[in-house]
Amino acid sequence: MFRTRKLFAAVALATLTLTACGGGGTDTGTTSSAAEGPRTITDATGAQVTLPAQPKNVVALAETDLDAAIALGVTPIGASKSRQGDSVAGYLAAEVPGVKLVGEIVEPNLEAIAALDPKPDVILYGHFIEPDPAQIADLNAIAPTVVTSLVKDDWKASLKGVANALNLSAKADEVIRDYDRKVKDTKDSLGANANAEVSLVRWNPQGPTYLQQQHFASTIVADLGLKRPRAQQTEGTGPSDPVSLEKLDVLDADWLFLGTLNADGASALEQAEANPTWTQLKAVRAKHVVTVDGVPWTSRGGPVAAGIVLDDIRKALGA
Amino acid sequence: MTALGSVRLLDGRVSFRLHARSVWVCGAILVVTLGALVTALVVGDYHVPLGDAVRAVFGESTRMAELFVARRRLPRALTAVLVGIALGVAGAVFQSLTRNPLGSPDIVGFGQGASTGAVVVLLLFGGGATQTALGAFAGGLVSAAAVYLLALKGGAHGYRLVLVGIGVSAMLIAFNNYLVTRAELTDARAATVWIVGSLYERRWPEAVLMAVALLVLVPVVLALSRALSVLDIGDEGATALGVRVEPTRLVLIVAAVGLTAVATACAGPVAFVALVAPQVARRLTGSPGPGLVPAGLLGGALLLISDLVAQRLTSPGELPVGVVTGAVGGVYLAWLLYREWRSGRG
Repeated sequence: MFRTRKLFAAVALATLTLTACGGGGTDTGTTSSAAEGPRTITDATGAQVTLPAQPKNVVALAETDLDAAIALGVTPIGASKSRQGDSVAGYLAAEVPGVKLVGEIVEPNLEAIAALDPKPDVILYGHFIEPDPAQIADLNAIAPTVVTSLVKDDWKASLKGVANALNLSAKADEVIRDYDRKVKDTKDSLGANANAEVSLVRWNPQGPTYLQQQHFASTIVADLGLKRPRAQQTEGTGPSDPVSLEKLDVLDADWLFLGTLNADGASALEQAEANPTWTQLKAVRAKHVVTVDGVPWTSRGGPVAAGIVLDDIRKALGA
Repeated sequence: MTALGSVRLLDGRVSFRLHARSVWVCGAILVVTLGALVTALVVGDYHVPLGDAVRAVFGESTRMAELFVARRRLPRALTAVLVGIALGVAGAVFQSLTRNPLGSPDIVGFGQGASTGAVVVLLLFGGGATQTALGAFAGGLVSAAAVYLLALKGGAHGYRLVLVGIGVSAMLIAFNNYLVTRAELTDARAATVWIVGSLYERRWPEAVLMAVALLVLVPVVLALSRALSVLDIGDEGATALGVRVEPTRLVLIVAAVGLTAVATACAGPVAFVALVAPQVARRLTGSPGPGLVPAGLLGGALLLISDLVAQRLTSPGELPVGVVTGAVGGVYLAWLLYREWRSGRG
């Protein structure tokens, strides 16, 4: 009884704080659902998790979940470092100015999560991290922990998992509809390039890889009806094995979208650009190489990243 | 030498001699370890008041103190100490058997073999934590058997084992890196732990496994401690003194490989502890023998302190502890090689 009352008080307080802040898009939703009290959901592992009707202080351990939460209008208070170093992913950083870092990309720091002020009321545990039951049990002692999606899942599954935890499923449907609409608009803008073949490349310090068929950006390109070179039509959700600099024709297509994750990748690319096998590619000769931000393009993605990918494609290929 | 005298137990069936400076040094290392242990329990990103931390270790405390101190910091720190002890003892045994500081299991590829086992299970078979640990154990034993058999001709000892081991180790490192390069990021990060060594999320299961391994294997090694020092004078001399050379050596090797493999299964191939601990212990105690006990204690202190540094240096993230021991040990190895080179010239 006492615990229920305490929880209710916390929810009421959260609502009050939100109302006091004013403005934000989620306010109305919060006020109406706060009366429902705590609710129990089933997460991606099948576990039952009880959490506040409208979690306010959200921790997102995976980049995909951070992206999804932001797309749903929620500003997480804690997130993992990105592969770029001591910050969240660059393309999301401006959306979460006050976010506290709570560990490495696949190594959440439980003490840092517990030390967050205000206390988190839900922890989103998704993509990138294989569910570790012992770790999840400890996380649950800090705050209700929801496994939003499994490693094999795509960004839409992750979005749905996050929305389920944040009680924003209707909003998630809206986000997906927005995406579908944007895909259609982009497709309509392609004109002569509607059937173009596009190559998706991430240049790592070890050399180039292409994005395999089930990779996030590949699925968007497929949604647009664009084609991929035959050599890049391999099964997999991640980037390919490194491509030898002697076989760069694997990377060739009408258009070549090229991302790097950090300065090391960029300097590896600079060296390759002097390579004759690179300058002979038809995309290079036609000046159809489009440099893009490798983080939203070549990671696990999310609605915000999808928007960036669509914008970049439209800017390059749109009539 | 300032022998403290000999101690006899069980009607003289067990006896050992105590070396005054060794006892003093061991005591000092224990004090340092205890200090580091207390630090490990109290310091963290989440502030637990000292009183709550102490109560959490000895009984009931606040929920967060029990979570962080009793369920996480304490077992992690104990795992660090126990893994360090195992590596220190295994290092001392191998360095003594090969009569070469470079004969440590982390140099001759046993640790690398254990990680190969782990990485193979993790990446090729998608195994969980238990299978990965078993893979590490199997890999350690297989690589040790391979090195031993390759170096067996004319007795597996000395430079032969070191050179064969370094070769095998290089091949295993290349193979591990190959697997990790091919793997996708998620697995690759997890596999990196098996290449560098880390104590992230190491808790009671690892601490208990390590404790059991030490309870079984350390007495075996200690019982053969005298035979081990006798082996130092050469096979003929040892035989003359009544030591059955080959069986003794085989038991010692199996026990030390077992210690290395379990330590690797618990924390990955943490570099240089097995190399450095026995060497520094020997210099501190000034004792000529294999010095198994001080080597083990020093290994424990070294790994625990390294792990504290690894957790604090890039907080809220953490470094794999192998990076820290690698940095410390690398400097030591360079110094060791420089000294050997100078004495070789002089």
